[in-house]
Amino acid sequence: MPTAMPAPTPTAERGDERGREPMTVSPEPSIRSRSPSLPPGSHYIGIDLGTTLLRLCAYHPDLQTVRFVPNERDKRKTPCFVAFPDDIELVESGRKACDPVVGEEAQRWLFKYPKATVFSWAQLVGLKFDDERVAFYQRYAPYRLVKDKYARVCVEIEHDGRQKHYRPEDLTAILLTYARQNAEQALRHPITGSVITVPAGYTLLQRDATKEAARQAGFQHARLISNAAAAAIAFGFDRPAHPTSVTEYVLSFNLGAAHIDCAVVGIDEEVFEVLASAGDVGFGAADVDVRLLMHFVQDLSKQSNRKLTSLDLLSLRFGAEKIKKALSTADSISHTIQLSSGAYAMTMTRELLETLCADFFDRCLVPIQQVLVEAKMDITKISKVVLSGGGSHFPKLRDRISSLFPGNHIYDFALIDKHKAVGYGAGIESALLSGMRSPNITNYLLIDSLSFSLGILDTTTNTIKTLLKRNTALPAQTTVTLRPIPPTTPPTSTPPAPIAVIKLYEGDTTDPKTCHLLATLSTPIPTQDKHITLSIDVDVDRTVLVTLVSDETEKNVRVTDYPMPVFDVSEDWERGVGVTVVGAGERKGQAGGEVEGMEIQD
Amino acid sequence: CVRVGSVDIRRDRIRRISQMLTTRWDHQKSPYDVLHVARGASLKDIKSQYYKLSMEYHPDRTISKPLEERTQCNQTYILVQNAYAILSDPRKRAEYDYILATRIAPVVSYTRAPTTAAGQPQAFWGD
Repeated sequence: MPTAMPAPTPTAERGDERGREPMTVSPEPSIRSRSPSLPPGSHYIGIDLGTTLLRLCAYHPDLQTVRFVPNERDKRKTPCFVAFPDDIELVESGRKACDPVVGEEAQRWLFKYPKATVFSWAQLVGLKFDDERVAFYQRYAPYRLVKDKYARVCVEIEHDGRQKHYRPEDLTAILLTYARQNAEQALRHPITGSVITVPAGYTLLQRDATKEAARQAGFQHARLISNAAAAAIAFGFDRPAHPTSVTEYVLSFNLGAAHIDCAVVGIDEEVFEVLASAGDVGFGAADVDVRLLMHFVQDLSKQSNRKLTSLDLLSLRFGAEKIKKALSTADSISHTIQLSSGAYAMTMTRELLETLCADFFDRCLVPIQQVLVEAKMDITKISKVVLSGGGSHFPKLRDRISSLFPGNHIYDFALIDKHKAVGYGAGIESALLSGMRSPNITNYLLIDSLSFSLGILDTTTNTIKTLLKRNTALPAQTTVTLRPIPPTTPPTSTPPAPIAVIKLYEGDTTDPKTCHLLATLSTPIPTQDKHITLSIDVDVDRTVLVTLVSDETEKNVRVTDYPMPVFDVSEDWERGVGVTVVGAGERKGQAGGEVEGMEIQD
Repeated sequence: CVRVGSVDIRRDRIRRISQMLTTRWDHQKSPYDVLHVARGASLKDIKSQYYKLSMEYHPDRTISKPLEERTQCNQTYILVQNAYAILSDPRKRAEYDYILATRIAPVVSYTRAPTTAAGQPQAFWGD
């Protein structure tokens, strides 16, 4: 994917950010000022991939610690914007018409080319077009969302008079390519791998889409960790001295723009164990902006001469974001937003914001209760509550959370800027995966766990039988024996060899309708009284390997090879994993041949 | 239903435990042997032993090792995970201890190896 990479311009504002960087110990070389003495091998970088911001964090072997990597404007955060402007200014500077621009450069084009500037697409990753959330996002997004041939949601961009479709993961790939090139320029060595933070509630499909984006961006390997786990790692390196050999349990809560992450993490001297995690994807601090926006629209509709254009909605949306941020510290704020029909001045109080978002806070607390139950953890055993992410600044939310934990204190990061906690955690994890052996930072381990249960369809009851429970530590492995049930109606002619069809699902309920179908596997059964052994292996990268053993045939199927067949498109599916799928037409022809169902031997 | 100490053990749960044990399980070794802890070890000891073995065998800790050694560590780590899953849960541990005490622990069993699938899998708890 070609990306326009403007040459790094050393600017006068350099050092502005560094002055506020609490981790900086002076005198100290900047992360890009000298070529680090790297050991050979793979080099990873930590990427805090948020909905609105991107931060890069890498291990610096000379400083023996992690540092945030500045972008070409010398900023340590890059807005997640990708634009495809057909502008004469860019063409003159030698840029090809289809090359995207990224970051602040792209943000600049938002109001000039609103239909060709994409932002906040992270919540679209892995969604079906028919999902009710897509219609909701479309209402507040200036770019157009369309359906691709696999029924997934795509962003339609018009350039050179032609429409081009970008999957959300393509846009992520553009952003990650920018991140990689940026890091390579700043660190002066090639980057081969990445640790990317994703919402804890991401399904396997969404994780695979993100991994695919990383592959497209030139990373050979991508490890995905949840935002909450990353913040917990940062806490482990930031916390005050703790008696060794006593495991400390923390609740890590991360409220991003479009996700809530929550995890209970046990922190030993050197081991971080994710005991339980839960999340809400597609719901986050950006919903507050939408509520404010709706409030403004309602307010403006009372003034009869006002007509709102789509650009006005965009201005109101970004105005709402500013007001929301200001109200985290101020009690009330007066703000003026420029609209096409003139200036719109309003005064907003924190009280009114809290009334508008009353149920928002309730929904934020749901995952907290969930993880406490799942980790079988008493509230008094939680020693600290670690809050991270932009949304966790709401005073009301902090009050609600601290009232849940009597006697426990909300932890405020001492050494690390709390906005950067997630990126810092990803950076530390990347140092570990790079194989660095620095005594003060890399002698630790993160034991992550499964986000959703995996199970197979029990056709006798049409429910899902869970084989690997959620929050099982990774890598995980399980084996079951299946007994095929012979068909009840006797075959009219000589039946073909019977085929067992096994459907693998991801999800936490027993109802197959609410779970994600990951794969449909089939295997021939030589004689009907034979049993089938099914093993599921999930490795640390959450690659699912299914092994079916029926008599002499052994079949290994990697389930999470991208693209996945989740939207019941058998064509796509077969390309992904290469197993036989018994289609509807085929099934009719061999009514007597297929086994009626599978019984799980318990 | 059997009562052991403060824990009621249901027969179907014992079956499930035995199922867990057939998972790539080296049947010569009990979870206690895998974790290198004594039968009566406290939960705290078991956990610290689990963390210690994790630091040694977890795939993220063996990156710099040669591939063959890594695969072996991975296999070992799966066993450690399974052992810890039993011993960290008081109920599962009581059930396992009951299996050990009544000497009906799985001795041999079918594993995922295709050769054993030729015969009928043995019913452990034939009613």
